[in-house]
Amino acid sequence: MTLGEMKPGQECEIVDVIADGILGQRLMDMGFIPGTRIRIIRNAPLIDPIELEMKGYHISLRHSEAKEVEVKTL
Amino acid sequence: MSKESKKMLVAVAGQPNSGKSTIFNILTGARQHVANYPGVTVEKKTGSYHLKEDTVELVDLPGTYSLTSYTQEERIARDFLLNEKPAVVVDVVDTSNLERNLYLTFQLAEMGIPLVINLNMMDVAERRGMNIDAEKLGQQLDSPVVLTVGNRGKGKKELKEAVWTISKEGKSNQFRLEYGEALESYLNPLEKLLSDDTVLSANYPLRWLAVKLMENDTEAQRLVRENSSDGTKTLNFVDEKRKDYTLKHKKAPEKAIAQMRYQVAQKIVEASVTRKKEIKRSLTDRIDQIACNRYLGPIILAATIYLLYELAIVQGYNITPYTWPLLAAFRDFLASILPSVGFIFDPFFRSMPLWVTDGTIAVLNYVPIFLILFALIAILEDTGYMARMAFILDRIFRHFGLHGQSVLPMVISGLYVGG
Ligand SMILES: Nc1nc2c(ncn2[C@@H]2O[C@H](COP(=O)(O)OP(=O)(O)OP(=O)(O)O)[C@@H](O)[C@H]2O)c(=O)[nH]1
Ligand SMILES: [Mg+2]
Repeated sequence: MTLGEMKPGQECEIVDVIADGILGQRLMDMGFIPGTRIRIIRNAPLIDPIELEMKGYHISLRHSEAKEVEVKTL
Repeated sequence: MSKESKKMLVAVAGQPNSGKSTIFNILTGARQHVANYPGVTVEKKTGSYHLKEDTVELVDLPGTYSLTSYTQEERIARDFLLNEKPAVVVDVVDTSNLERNLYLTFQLAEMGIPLVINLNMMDVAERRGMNIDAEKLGQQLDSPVVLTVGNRGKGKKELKEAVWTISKEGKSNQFRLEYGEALESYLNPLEKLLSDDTVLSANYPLRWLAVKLMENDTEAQRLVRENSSDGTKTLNFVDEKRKDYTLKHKKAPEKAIAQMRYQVAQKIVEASVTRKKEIKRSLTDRIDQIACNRYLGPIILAATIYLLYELAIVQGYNITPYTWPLLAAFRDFLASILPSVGFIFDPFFRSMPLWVTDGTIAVLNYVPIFLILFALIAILEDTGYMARMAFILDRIFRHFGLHGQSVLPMVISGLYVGG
């Protein structure tokens, strides 16, 4: 399943970054690395963006970006 | 011979929002010269300061998370480091996000430039209960470490001192990130092949070049193509090796490289940072829970905008009955001292000043409204609610093409309620 399908409050672990090229690289640069744990803080009122906590800091992603991150629930 | 004053080029690099410009400003006393990097609209801020007999030329590089060649900012930072060869790079690190910041530090170190690791935002890190063994961190990165709180000017003297000392040592950074057996068995032969090329080895850090080529970096490929006599052969070799790695490890080398950088960053952080129990950010968190709630968020947002309207426009207008008499009294006073009213036409020296006054008064009448509005907006900005509004409204903004970057890192932690 992908990060885009996660619900607020859920925790998951990154399995893979699917995207290649600039988006894939940027996600990895920001710390989206297999094995990293993520907690979904909230889905914003008007759906985008999703807010996440990872490695102790908060990140906002759009759904179009979040669906490029494959995760498994914990 | 008299002591000659020397010019020394120093770059300030780091991830976005780590405090580079703040550090740049405290070092130079904000005496700066702003221009553009050649051919692009990205600002190039330069300034200088004196220490002992030296003049230090400081350059504030664009903030980047990494040093790939995908974005203009990254290409600028990287070309500057490669071509201008600064004597020292001050790597401004947001200590509260040490692990992510080290990801960039590694890439700077790989370029062989002497680094001063500037652990900035120490106040935030301390609030988060981080305790840092600076000496240990410095040993692992083969660089001096200086702690600062940029916005309060703390650590400025030590930072200048460290830059001076390391520039006098004049040795390159010996830190070498080990990418693990699997990757090294590709990187080492590639580095060896590159070292046979006299032009490349004279001009570029080869370890860095090998890693970038393995990452499929187009600018690195261009460097090889344009500078090497045997460029095509080298690039074919790289291509073959990349394919081979991908086939063998079921993973693109650039992914494995990013992963290794984070793994090493994590190890270094674990070895040099101890964490006390985090000083709770629960108040901010709890407020966010309400302010950004799926249903409550828009309601609060609408209420806030209504309140803005009510206080500024409605109440501001209600004040005008009190301010208007003052303005009117002024006009009457003016009218009384000007030449008196004519029978058919008013004299010019009467009508002209009165026109101007009437016009000015008409505008001044709205001043209370503006004052209230600006004050309220300042409050929203300071409490961080503006950022939450942006979060809630992102979807709407997007329709107008107003979003900046594709990945918007909202480091909410940097937006403590009340600053
Ligand atoms: N709490 C705290 N805030 C700091 C510190 N240093 C800088 N800041 C604040 O952090 C914010 C960002 O600082 P900048 O200097 O603009 O960061 P930058 O790295 O130049 O940012 P970009 O140019 O956008 O990449 C500012 O509001 C600074 O006042 C620090 O040590 N502690
Ligand atoms: Mg800046």
